[in-house]
Formats: sequence, structure tokens, C-alpha cells
Amino acid sequence: MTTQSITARPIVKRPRVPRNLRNGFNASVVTLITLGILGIFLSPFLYMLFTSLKSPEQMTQQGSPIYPARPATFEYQGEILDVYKVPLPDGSTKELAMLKPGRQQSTFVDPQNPNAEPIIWQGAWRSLERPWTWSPTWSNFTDVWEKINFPRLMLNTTFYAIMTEIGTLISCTLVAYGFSRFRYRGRDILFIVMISTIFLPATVTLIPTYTFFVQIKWVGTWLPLIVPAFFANAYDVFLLRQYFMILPRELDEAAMIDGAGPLRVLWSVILPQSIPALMAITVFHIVWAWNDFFGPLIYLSTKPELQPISVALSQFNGIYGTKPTLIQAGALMAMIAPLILFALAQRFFVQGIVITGVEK
Amino acid sequence: MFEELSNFKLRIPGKGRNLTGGERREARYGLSFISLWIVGFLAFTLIPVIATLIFTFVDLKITDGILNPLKFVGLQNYETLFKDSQVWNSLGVTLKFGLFALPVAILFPLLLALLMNSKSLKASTLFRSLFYLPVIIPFVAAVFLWGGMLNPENGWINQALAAMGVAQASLPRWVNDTTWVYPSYVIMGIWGVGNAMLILMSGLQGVPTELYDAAKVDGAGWWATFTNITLPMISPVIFYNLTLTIVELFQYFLVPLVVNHGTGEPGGATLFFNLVLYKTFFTYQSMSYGATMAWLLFVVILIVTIVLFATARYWVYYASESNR
Amino acid sequence: MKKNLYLLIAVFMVASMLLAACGGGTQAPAPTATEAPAAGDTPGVEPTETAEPTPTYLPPATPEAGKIQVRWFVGLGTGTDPGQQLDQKKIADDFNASQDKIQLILEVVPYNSATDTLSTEIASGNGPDIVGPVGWSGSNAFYGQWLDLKDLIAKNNYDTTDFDPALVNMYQTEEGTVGLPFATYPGAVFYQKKMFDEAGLAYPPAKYGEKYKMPDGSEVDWNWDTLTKIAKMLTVDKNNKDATQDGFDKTQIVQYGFDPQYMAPFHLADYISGAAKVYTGDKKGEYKAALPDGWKAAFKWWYDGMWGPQPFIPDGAKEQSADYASGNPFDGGKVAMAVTQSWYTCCIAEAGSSWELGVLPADANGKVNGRVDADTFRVWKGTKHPDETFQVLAYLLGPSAQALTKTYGAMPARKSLLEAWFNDEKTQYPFVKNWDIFTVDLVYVDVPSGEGYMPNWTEAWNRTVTFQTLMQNNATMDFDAEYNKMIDDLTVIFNK
Repeated sequence: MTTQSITARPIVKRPRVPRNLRNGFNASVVTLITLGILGIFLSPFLYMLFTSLKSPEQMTQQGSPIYPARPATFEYQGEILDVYKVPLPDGSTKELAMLKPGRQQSTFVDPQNPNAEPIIWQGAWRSLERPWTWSPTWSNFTDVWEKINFPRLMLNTTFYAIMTEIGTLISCTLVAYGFSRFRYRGRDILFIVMISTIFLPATVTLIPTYTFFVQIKWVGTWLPLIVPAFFANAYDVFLLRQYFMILPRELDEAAMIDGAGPLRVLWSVILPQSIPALMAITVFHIVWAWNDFFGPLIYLSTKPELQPISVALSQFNGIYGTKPTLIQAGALMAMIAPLILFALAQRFFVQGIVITGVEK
Repeated sequence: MFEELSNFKLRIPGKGRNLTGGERREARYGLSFISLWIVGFLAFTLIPVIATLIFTFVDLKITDGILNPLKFVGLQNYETLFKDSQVWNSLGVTLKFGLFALPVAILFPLLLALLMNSKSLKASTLFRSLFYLPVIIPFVAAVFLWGGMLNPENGWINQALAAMGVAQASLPRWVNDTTWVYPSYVIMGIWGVGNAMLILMSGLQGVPTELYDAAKVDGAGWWATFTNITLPMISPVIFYNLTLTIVELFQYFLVPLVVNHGTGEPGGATLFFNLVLYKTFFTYQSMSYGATMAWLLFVVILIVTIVLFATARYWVYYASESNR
Repeated sequence: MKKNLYLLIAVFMVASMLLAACGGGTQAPAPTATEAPAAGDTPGVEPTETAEPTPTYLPPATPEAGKIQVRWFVGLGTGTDPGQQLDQKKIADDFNASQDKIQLILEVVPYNSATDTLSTEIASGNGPDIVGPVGWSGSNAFYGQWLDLKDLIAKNNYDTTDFDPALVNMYQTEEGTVGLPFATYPGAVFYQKKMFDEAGLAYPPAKYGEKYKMPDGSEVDWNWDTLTKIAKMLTVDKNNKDATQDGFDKTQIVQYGFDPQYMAPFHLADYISGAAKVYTGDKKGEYKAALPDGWKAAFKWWYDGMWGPQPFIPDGAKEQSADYASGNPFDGGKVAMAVTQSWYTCCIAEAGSSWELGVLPADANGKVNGRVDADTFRVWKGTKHPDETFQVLAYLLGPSAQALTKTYGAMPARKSLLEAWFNDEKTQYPFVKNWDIFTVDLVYVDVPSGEGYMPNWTEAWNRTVTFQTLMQNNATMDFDAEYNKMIDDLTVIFNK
């Protein structure tokens, strides 16, 4: 805090930076920093785009550029020779085709005068660079399309998402309703038990559950994944229950006075008011189903034609993992559907998180 | 939610007297609505947990089939477990990875949320959507992408490092190096922070502005405001994030499964506890030993969770309580 | 608001019903009528088939009434490539057309999940009848599940004279006669002539007993020492300096001299030091891991070859990189020599057209240690139709052996089929002259097999592979400590 003295010392007024300028400066700094972080954060998309267009040969060549390109070659007497940028003794650099490599010296042919004497060049050919030209390999995508049956995978994943979605919606609304609008002995204990299952590691229940499904021959079908969805899960019940508890009871009571039973109250009074929460659950669930890997892996590993995209993609990696260009192309194709969904429905995603956030 | 858990009082209608007809009816309706969950809980949670416990006392392989008479072996599985260095190594691997991953999982979303919430940020809605975007990418695809970026030869991260002057020989080998593999996995999982970021954002927005105004009047600087107002007000959200992340990290194994096909490369550095469990059960077909490992994990997680909840009182601030 | 909700739910319902109807259903294999002998093309199953009619995995045929079904499970070994699937299907169809009592049903499963699938099937009492082609590693994972064929062989008077007796013996184990020879894969040295030319070195010997001529003119025995020296001369950095020269920059290596192509530690140990049993004791609780000293030396040789002052073997990161064809370095054209089995001709397409085969190096005592991989078809002990299954087995091992071994790239175990196999290889790789090496190398069998039985085989084998990747990826490993740790861990695993 500056104090003003009454003495005759002249007061030096430091020119204050006008507020708008200061805000503008802060804004640009903060925005630039965030932009930088975002750039690094999203850079793999760019990597994927470039790599999916590269040829497998480019991946194994030293000194290849970032963009999809092809090294120059020259056909000579029926053989395809690699072209190198050779620095000549007179100071110039010519592009010559390698005829015969050697440790101390190598023989080259000039693509401009193929019939002239081959040029003998002293030096280590391995340190030479090659000229590159832009050349995207679109066939990577058709390759992947043939190797993975994308339409089937999309169908499977969507089916899985929708069936589990239906089960979740139905069961979670019923259970959340039961936990929120009724009073009875043990309700709170049961609620605590339900919440604590969130922290239960899945591995503790995995072994007997899997064995049971093996014995009743459900392994290899969708059933072990879809049926449990109809029995409510703790996250969604919790979210809905909190949401329901905020809704005012007057409408409930009004309906009950009119003679509505609890089911009717749920259907006509509670649910219509809970659309935001239901949309949130739906949207998250679809993302979750698209991502779900372990369940489909253990139950559907034996049936490639039923697998959703996450499992199929990882098996693709198992077979073609040595071809990074194909892997990136496959990943690109797998991402298109979620990206489109996001572009159309972003509002719901964000709104959904906000709702869940408020409930914490 | 945790306010509930720490404050819950048993409300038992009709305690000490018979239930009225209305209360009985209400109870009937309530219980029937939650019956779906009760059935599911018994069938998919309680009974399997008990069954797993029983399995730890027998010697059972998958190919034996469950209908054959069980061979009781007492505590032998536990004995083998305690002597099995691979299991304890894998627990160590899980903890070591947790040390790398937990700070990033808690702090990075917080940083992003603060940035997003900052008044100085232009086009914050656009930024928010873009930072959230990678969450919806299937994690297998995300692993491939970041795996490609981390490729020691043609990945962009190493190429960027080389361009900045790092010598060729000191470029980290990322997924192929027994130490760098943990940061690599953390990087591969970085796209999941969008969720936590948004939750934290809404938590930040829930802080009443009067508090900030009061702080400004008192002349508090940015750091003081942050530590005395922002952090305590969002501590429930952070606590929620922390607990869930810790429980998830103990069970972490899907990324190594996808990246290395579960081989534990390089050199056992990615043999996470759950990965060893998965292999014990699915590849080596041992149900009983797998069950023993599962119970060990359960007990460890339980202890950690209890400790977390017990200490929460000391640092998590609930606005609804009038005193700490 | 309400109307929107109804609309939404209605849309969901309709969509899911449509999808369920379209066959995302809860039933197992989609029904296919593929009984007519395949004319080379498979009829597409999914309505969204593209120009190439082959789906990734052919679904199995529907069982026909009135016939006994024999299920043939493929996936534990080779046989999962699209071309191989079609060939196997044709063989199954031919068998079915040739008689009307048995229906042979082919089931192909991805290699990565084959072990899981099989164990699930066995656990639910639904195991297949014939499993194969499968080698030692695949079948050891299911030790104890295979049928002893001794009685069936006797009952059918099966003729085994067309097989080399050593190979028939290989399949007599503690479980009984678990298989009959089908395909063998002897080992050899694969090398790139161009790289030897560029370095001015003589090629590895083509026949056993020949000596190797070093660049200084001296003639030495062709053993692992010599191979090491040559490999160092064939490891070149960016400035064309090799590993034996001053100024060699080991951070800029562009070509390596040697790679244990597709090998696990036990494989390499067998080659360098000779086969050995890896455990003592004969019952659970008493097993102890016991590796010979020569094996430890072999591992150390590998480790030093990667990280020593004169490296000549690519390390883990290099080997897995795209430059080195992601784990297939010889095929990537960056490695001068590799020792591996004859099945490697499957995966050598990019290695160029100037590679050749040479003899295996001897050890310090002048003894040549080799390895022979072997594939066969095994019968599950829970099969409900052993007689019919044996009939199918005889068909696979007999009349269709030639077609099958061709599609697997395998060398047939039947002496009568060998010539045809060599002719095929000569047509495919006309520039390779030394095919005889494979016939000669058949005598260098590892007994017990490098992949031979140990208790809890899969888990023990994985532990050795963990040791291998540690070696390959860790320049500063404490070799002795880690080796001892592996031995201790193996003992624990054996007794699980």
C-alpha cells in the first residue's frame, strides 16, 4: 500500500497500465499457454493422420520425412536401384542410383545419362541421404477395410451399447426410485452397501462368475454381458437417486391424491422431470460401451463375429502389430463414429458431467 | 455423496413399535422397486465373493470343471502365495506405477480445470470441448496412437526431443525400457483426464463468489486464495477423484494387456498384479490360485480405502458442516 | 418434453429390435451351408462382403444329422492365415465328400485367444476331437489332456514305416503315445549373401566338415566362436565401420551380424550348448529347477552380444522397431545371419533374393547341437468318438499330408513326400541352392525338446521369456542376480 507523504517530496506517479491492456495481456498469455497444452495434447491425431498414409517402406527407412513420402528409385537394366544424394568431389550434389554398394567405395549410375560409364565414388554410402517425394498411401485404408469387417464391428458395438443401455435405464430408474421415494427399514444400510460396491475390485467376483457362465454355456454369447445390465449398477443408481431427491414432492403427492400408484407416479411425474439426468446416463453409457474391453474380451474372445470394436482392434494389433501404418489406419477408422457422435452431441456430454459434478 | 456416508444416521421407521399399514405398504413398494438390485447384488456380487473365498481353500483348475468334487487343500494356496516372488513383484510394479500415475491423475485435471475456469481464457467453451474430446475415443485406439507417438525411432516425441538437442543415445526408449515404461503408460492414459477435469470445473464453479470477493477485500494474493478458499471448497471433489483413482490403479492392467499382449515386457516391468491374476486364471487355468490372488488384492484395497476414509475427516471440508 | 421422451424410448426399442434381428443375436455360430466342395472361393457369410470374399475367420459348418461330427480345432499353432484356412476347408470338404459316416468340421480360432478358447471348451465338457497343427509349446499348455493313441494305432494296424524312427520316438512321452509325426522343422543358418559380399567375407560352409576361410586366409572350424567373429565384422555403423574396427560407433548401427530369430532363451541354449532336462524331482513339492552351466553361458553370450563393447546382436528396442520389421529383423534386411527352423521360410518374403542356407556351427567340443520343431495333430482325451477321430487323423496324416504341409510351409515327416516339398521350395526360392541342409539337419534333434515338458509349462516358459525381454531391454542388468532369480522363480512355479 502506498502511503502518501505530506512532505514536499514530489510524488512520482508510476504510469499504471490501463486495465484493458493488462487484461488483454493476461488473456493472450493464458490463451497461448492453453493453446500450447492443447496442441501437445491433441498431437497424436495428427501423427495418426500422417502415419496412416505412409507406406510400410517409409517406416523402415532412416531419415524419412514426417509427411507421407516415397524415396526416389531408378530402373536400370531391369533392376530397381535406390537413388541417393551423392556429394561429388567438384562440390556439387547429384542424385545418383546405387549400382553396387561397398565398404570403402560404391558404384553409381547417373539417371540422367544411364548409358555413360558408372561412377565410382569413394566414401561411406550409408551416410548418404535420399531424395523424397510426397506420396500418400491410400491403400492402407482399403487394406484395413478388407482385413477388419468394420460394418459388422459397428453393428456389434452399437447393439451392445443399446441393449445394455436399455437394461441400465430400466433397472436404474426403478432402483433409484425405490431408494429415494420410500422409507423402510434398512434402506440406508442397503444404500451404503450399494455404494461400497463401487469400490469392490472386479477381480474378486470375476472367477466364479466366469466359471458359472462357462458351465451354463453362456460364454461365447452376448448374454453374460447384457443380462447383468438389467440388474442396476451403483454409479447410475446413485446419480439418479440424488437427482430424484432434489425433485419436489408436491407433484408426487398431487398425483397420489389423484389415485396414482407408485409406478404411475414414476412414469408421469418423476421421469419427465429427470430428462437431463437420463440423457447424461445415456450419453456416458454409450461412451462406456464403446470403450468396454475386458468383458467382451473374456466372453467373446472365442467368437470374432460377435466382438465389439475394442476387442477386434486389439486382436488386429496382435496380428498386424508389426505394420504400424495399418494400425494407425485402423485406429483412424475406428474413431470416426465416436468423433461424429461427439460433434453432434457435445452439449449432452458436458451437461451430463455438470450434473454428476453437482451431485458430489 | 461422502457427506452422506460420513453423516448417515439410521432412520428406521417404526423402531420400537409395530409398523402401521401405510408404512408396511411403503416398505413393500420400496423393497420391490429395489428388488432388481438386490437380486443382482446377491447373484453377481455377494455369492461370487463368497465363492472366491471358498476357491482359495481348494485346488481347482478350469479344465477340471466345477461339478467334480472339490479337493480341499487348506491353507496351501496362501502358503504358495507368500513364497511366490512373482506375485509380490507384481504388487510392487502396481505400486511403482501408482507413484507415477496418481500425481498426474490428480494434478493435471486440476491444472486444466483452473485454466478452463480462468477469466482470462478466450473461447473457453471451445477449449473445454476439445480437451474433453479424447475421452470418447476408444481406449484401445488411444493406446495405439500414443504408442506410435512414443515409438523410439519414428515417434514424434523422440523426434521432438532430438530436435531440441538431446543426443541420439540418450533418447528414452519409452515402452522398451524398464524404467521409462511407466511414464509411457501414464502418457498413454493422459487422454482420460477430460472427465476429472469437467468434474473439477463444476466443483470450482460451485465455490460461492462471495468468498472470493471477501478474500480480495482482505488483500489476499492468488496463492493464499487458492490454498485457503479454492482447495478446501473443492476438497470433496478431489477426495472422490483420489479414492476412485487409487482403487482403479490397484486394478490397472488393461493397457499392458493391449500394448504387450500380457507378456510383461520389458523384462517383467509391466507385470501388474491384475495382469498376473488374469494370466493365472485364463492362461495357466488355475482357479484356486487366481482366487487367492484376488482376495489378497481385495484385502489390500479394503485397507487402503478404510484408511482414506478415516483420514478424510482431517483434510476434506464439507461446506454443510459448520465446524471442521 | 414427455413426447420427446416417448419418442426417444421408442426409437431405442425399434433400433435394438432391428439390430437383434440382423443377427447380432445370442446364438453361437451363424449358420452356413458350405457342404458343397469349395471351388476355391468361399461363399461370403456377411451381407457386407467386399470384393475379397474371405472373412477374417471362417465360421464352422453346421452339423448334419445322421453323421458323426468330428471337430478339428486349428489355432494353437499355425493354420490361421486366410490362405491356410481355405486350404484346410478344402481338405475337410474333400474328406466329407469321400464318405458319408463322418462329418469333419473345421474350427479356426485366432492364435492369440486359442489357448483361452480351448480351455473354455474343455472346461465346459465341450472339447474338440482333433487339435492341430500344434507343436510342443501349444500342447504342453494342455498337458494331461491328450489321448494315448497306442491302442488305436494297434487296432487299426497303422503303418509307421514311412516315418523316421527317431521322429516316432519323439512322441513317446510319459503320457503315452501322444501323436504321430506329421511335420518337422529342422534348423539351419540363414544368411544374406549380399552382406557377405559387401564385407568381402567368405560364405558360411554349405556342408558339414568344411572349414571356414577367414579374411586373413586362415582356415578355421565353423563353430560359435567363428560365427561370433564374423558377426562382429558384419555389424556396421553409419560410417561403414564394423564392430571390430576403431572408431566404431555403437549408437549408429545400421546393420547387425546375427539375430536369434524368433527364439526364446531355451531355444538358443539348445543350439549353443545342447539339449538338457531343466528340472529334477518327480512330484509336486519336490521339483527343482536345474539348468546346465552351458545354458547360462549361452544366455550370457546373447546378453553380451547386445550390450558388450562389440555388439553384433540387435537389442530389444531395435528388434521391435519398424526398421527391423518389428520383431522380424532378418526379414527386414538388416541382419546378416540368423539361426532358426525351416518354418521360417514362411516369413521371409521381404528379405530379398540373395539369402542362402548354411550349416549349423559346432560348439567348443566340435559337436553340432541342433533343434527340430515338430507339429502334429493331437486327439483330446475326452473325445466321444475315438474311432472316427482316428480315421480323420489317419486321413490328415496320410492322403492330405502333402497339401497340408504345403500350406503350413512344413517339411513333411513322411519320407515319401520329401521330394515334392523340396521341389516346391526350389520353385518358390530359386536362388537358394542349399536345400539339402534340411535333410541333413534332421539328425540334429534336441532330446528333450527345447520346448519339452516342465511342470506348469506355460507359466514357466513365460518366466524365461520375461528373463529374455529383460536381457534385451536392459543395458545395465545384473546378469548373475537376475539369472539366479529366474532359477528360484522357476522352482516356485514348478511346485505350484
